Amino acid sequence: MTPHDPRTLTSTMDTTPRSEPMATPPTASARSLVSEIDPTTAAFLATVRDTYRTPLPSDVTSSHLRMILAEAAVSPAQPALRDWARRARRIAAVGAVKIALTATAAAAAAGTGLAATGSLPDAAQTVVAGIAEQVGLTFPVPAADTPGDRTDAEGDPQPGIGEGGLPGLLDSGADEGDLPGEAGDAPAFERDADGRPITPAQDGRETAEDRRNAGNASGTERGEDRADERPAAPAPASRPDTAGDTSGDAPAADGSAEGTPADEQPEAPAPEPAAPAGGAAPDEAGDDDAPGTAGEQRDATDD
Amino acid sequence: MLSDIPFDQIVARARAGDAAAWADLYDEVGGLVVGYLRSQRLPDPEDVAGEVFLQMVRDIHRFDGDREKFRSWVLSIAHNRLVDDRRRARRRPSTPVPPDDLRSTPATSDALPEHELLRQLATDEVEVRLARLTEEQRTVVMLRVVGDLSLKECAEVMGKRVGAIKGLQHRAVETLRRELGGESPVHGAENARDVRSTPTRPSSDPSA
Repeated sequence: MTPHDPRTLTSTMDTTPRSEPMATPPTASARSLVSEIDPTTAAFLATVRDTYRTPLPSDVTSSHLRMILAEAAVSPAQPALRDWARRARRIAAVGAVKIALTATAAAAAAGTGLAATGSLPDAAQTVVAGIAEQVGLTFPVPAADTPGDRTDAEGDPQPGIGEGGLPGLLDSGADEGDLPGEAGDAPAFERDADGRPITPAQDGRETAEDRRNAGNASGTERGEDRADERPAAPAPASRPDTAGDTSGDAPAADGSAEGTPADEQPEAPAPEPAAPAGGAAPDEAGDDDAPGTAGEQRDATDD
Repeated sequence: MLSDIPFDQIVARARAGDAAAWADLYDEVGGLVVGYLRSQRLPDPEDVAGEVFLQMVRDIHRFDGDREKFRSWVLSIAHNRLVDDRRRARRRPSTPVPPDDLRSTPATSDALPEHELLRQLATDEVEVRLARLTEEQRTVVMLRVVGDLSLKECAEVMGKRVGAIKGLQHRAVETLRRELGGESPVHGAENARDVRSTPTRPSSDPSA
C-alpha cells in the first residue's frame, strides 16, 4: 500500500492519521469526510498531509524547546496571580457599579415618595410636580398650600390669613354650593365688627348645625337646609319623603308638611343654640319669643 | 518521555516548570503546529510556531482537558496567530519572495539535498491544486487533514458553527475533485470509466 493509495487515506481517517498512538477512536465527524471523498481526492489529501507533516529538524526543535523552558522559568505561576488580580479588580468595578445603581434607584424611589406626599421643600416640590405633570402624574404643588393663596379643588378661595388674619374668620357657615354638614357650615367662628363672636341666632341666619343642635333632626331638617342654600328656588309641591332618614326621630311639632322651606315660614323662630337634642320644636321656641331669638337679634343688629 | 503518565499530570508538571513535561508537550504538538502553519503558506512557519509555543506556556494555567483537547487548544492559538499575521500583512504589504529563491533556500538544515528537492516538488504540485480553494476552505482542509481535528474542533478553532464547517469542507472537496478530475462519490458507478481514464495519483507520487 503506497502513501497515495486511496485506501491509505481512508484507513487513516478511520483510525488515526498520526504516527502517535490515538487516544480516542475516530469520531463520526471525521468519518463524514471520508464518505464524501472519491479515491482520487483522498489520495491527494494523503499527499497533502505527507507534504506538510514532516518531522521537524533538530535545530528547530531545540530552538523551540529553549524558548519554551525559558518562558516557563520566567513565569510559572505569575499568570495565575495576574489573572486573580485582574478578576478582583473586575469584581470590584462591577460591585461599585451595582452599588451606584442601587443607591440611585433608592434615591429616586425616596424622592418620588416624598414628592407624592408633598414632603419635599417648596422649590424641589415645584420642580418635581412640574416634571411629573408632563408624564401625567399629579403631585402636590407647594404654591397651592401657601396660606392666603389656598384654593380648594373647585378654585374657591379657602379661609386663610390673607383673607381675615385667622383661619375661619370669613367662613359663613353656609357657603353657596356647600352641602349640609360640610366643614364650611361651621358657624362658630364668625365675629361682628367689634370682634365679638356672632352666634348663628344673633346674625339672624339659621344653619343646619343650629337646627341639628336644637331639634336634632326633625322631618324637615334636610329640606330646610336645602331651602336655606337656595332661597330663590320655588318650593316644590311635594318633595320626596325624607322620613326614612329620620324615621326614629320626633316628627315636626308644628305639623307642617315635611320638606317645606323654612323661608316660607317667617314667623318660625330660630331654635335655641344650646337646645338639647330632641328638645322642643321650633314653633314652641318662637311662641315664647325668648331673648336671643332670631327676631330680636335681627332688630338689635339693625340698630 | 512521560508517555506512561496521565496527561493531566504532565500538564501539572509543566505548570510547575518541569522541563521533561514541557518536552513531552512539545513533542505532542510541535510537528502539528509547524505543519499547519507551513500548509498556510507562511514564509517563516518555524518562527511563528515559536511564538505559538510561547503563548502556550503563558496560557497553560488556563487549559483544562485531555490530550486531544490539548492539540485542539494549541492549534487554536496557532490559528489566531495566523489570522493576526495575515491581518498585519494586509496592513503592511510586503514584496513576496520569488518561488525560485525559496526553492534555493534549504528548509531544513539536516535534510539531504535530493530529499529536499523532492519535498519541494511535491509541495509545488500540492500548492497548484490547493490554489483553487478559498482561504477558509483551505483552512478547513488543513485543520482536518494536517491538524487531525474533527468537525467540532475545527468549528471551535475557526469560531464557526459545525454546519458552516461542513459546508466549507464539502465545497473544498468538490473543488479538489473537479481539479483532480476524480469521480463524485454519488455518481461513482456512472463515472467509473472516466475515473479510470484519468490519472488518480499526483505526478509527485514516488510510486508512479
